[in-house]
Amino acid sequence: MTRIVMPVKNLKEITDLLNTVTTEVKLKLTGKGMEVRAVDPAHVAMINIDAPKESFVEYGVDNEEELAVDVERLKNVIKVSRDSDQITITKEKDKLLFEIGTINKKISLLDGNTVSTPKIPQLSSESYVVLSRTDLERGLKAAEDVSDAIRLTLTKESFRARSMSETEESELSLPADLLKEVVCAGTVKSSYPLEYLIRFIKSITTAEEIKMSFKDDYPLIIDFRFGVNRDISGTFLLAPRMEQ
Amino acid sequence: MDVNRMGVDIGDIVERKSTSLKDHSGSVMALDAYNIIYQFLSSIRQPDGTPLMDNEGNVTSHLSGVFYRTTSMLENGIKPIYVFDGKPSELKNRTIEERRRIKEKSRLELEAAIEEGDTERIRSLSARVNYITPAMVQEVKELLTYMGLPHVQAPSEGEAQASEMSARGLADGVISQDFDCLLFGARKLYRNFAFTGRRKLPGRSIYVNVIPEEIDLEATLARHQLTRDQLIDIGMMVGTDFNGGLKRVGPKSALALIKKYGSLEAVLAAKNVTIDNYELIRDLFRNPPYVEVKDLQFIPPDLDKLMDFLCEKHSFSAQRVQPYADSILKSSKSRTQSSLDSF
Repeated sequence: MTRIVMPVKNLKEITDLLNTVTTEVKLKLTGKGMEVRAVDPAHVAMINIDAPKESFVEYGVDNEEELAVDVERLKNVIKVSRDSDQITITKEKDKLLFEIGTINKKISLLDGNTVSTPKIPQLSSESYVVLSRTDLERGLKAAEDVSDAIRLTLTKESFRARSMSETEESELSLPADLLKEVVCAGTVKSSYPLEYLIRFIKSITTAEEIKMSFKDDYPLIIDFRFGVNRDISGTFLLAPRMEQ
Repeated sequence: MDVNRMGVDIGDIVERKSTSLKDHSGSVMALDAYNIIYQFLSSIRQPDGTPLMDNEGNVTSHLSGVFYRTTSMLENGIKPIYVFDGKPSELKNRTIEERRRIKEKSRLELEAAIEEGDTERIRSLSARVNYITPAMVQEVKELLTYMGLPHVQAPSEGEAQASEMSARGLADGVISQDFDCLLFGARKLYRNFAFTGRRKLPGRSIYVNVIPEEIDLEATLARHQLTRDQLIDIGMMVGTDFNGGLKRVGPKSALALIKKYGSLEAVLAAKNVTIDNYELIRDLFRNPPYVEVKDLQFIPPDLDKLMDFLCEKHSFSAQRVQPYADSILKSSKSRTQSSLDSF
């Protein structure tokens, strides 16, 4: 039997994250924990979550299995909970039973054949910056009404996130002493779609710092840890905007 | 020869799978323009069977189909290149003449049905009496230009040009209903992309659910351990736009014959029959007339001209068209957006 118990806040954060790119996912439960991979239909953004079994209050998974679920239905289940609640999830044939305090809810599992698990591209970049999530969120919010893209520039002295339109401009500029860590030889710069970044950053409320790796006209790789005990690791991949 | 069907009927032996538009984001697709326009003219009809028309009485079903369906492709990140027919091959004359004769017969029957007020028959016959006029072709090209999309004028068969573009890697696949594309070398053939959902079977009051499908040439050849030449031979035995095929030979029996005898020549000798011009037809499938394609540009749409063309000139509802026009502009902007698949 498959039965797991976790802080509802963790499940909420996971569903919010997944919901930034997709509406249907497979939750893969293995002996080590839960893995989730999701990509948006245009293959612009991808989420990769690894929740080790230690991040669960209880983790009862006898056999490895994949649970295909509708993310919106999951969100609806969580709506009735409070942040301090724990949620118990039990697989019952083709349904999932959720127990949150005095409330029980069941949702149907989706046909696993109709939900594909994306292949993670092999990406790497030597240049990266580690910064506060709230600093980046402020910079993205400032850019939100300026343009639909943001240009990131990294040197060993600073990190900048700049957005421009014909009439307006917005820039977040963080010198090295305001960054947790920066590794960069020379200058790297690349542009990314702002909408995806904003949806992503708003969904990871418990992450304190994030590591952003990128290079010229290359996907952005954001590594972060989140969850009540920050013991869930996540990676967000975002394809670049190419200059015309 | 069944001249009403389009192209060779080898659907029973191809390697196919269901797919959807969203699975092909970032793909460049060559569209067999005449094949698609013909589908729109047949399917986009008013309840009484007459095509959509503007205030001047000009048919607009083709414009409606191309505009809305192409926008849907753009929204799914597909880059469509419409490929238009040029001068048909002389080998196709017999088919063209036969189709013309049948259409004329249907037209006369339609006139009689209208006189009798037989609405079901009017609807049925109306879908059969379609003519793609030079004016319609020009209108579609004009529409595509305002949408910021390139098109290609083939020297001869559009599906041949589109298939060759696929074979040369200029397009990821061909959107057409016509299996001939596989004989012409299209690496992937996408059917039911221009028209999905419920579709009425011709001449019957039965509706079927139409799902987009992907047909893979390499996988088809590998499944049956065939060469492309042998697939062409199978096509000719079944019947193509250029020949009538052998009597009582369908795709499965043609496949069995090729597996047994190895080539069309050996099959014809064994059965003591012939197919007119089979060597010329085979050569046409192998080396179709082709125009070099370069400088295909996807540019931002001209929304003012697009709205003027559809709404002022052809009486489309501005309220309905505007959100689609906005969507085309949005898609144009997002074309600078790369996909993770590219890395």
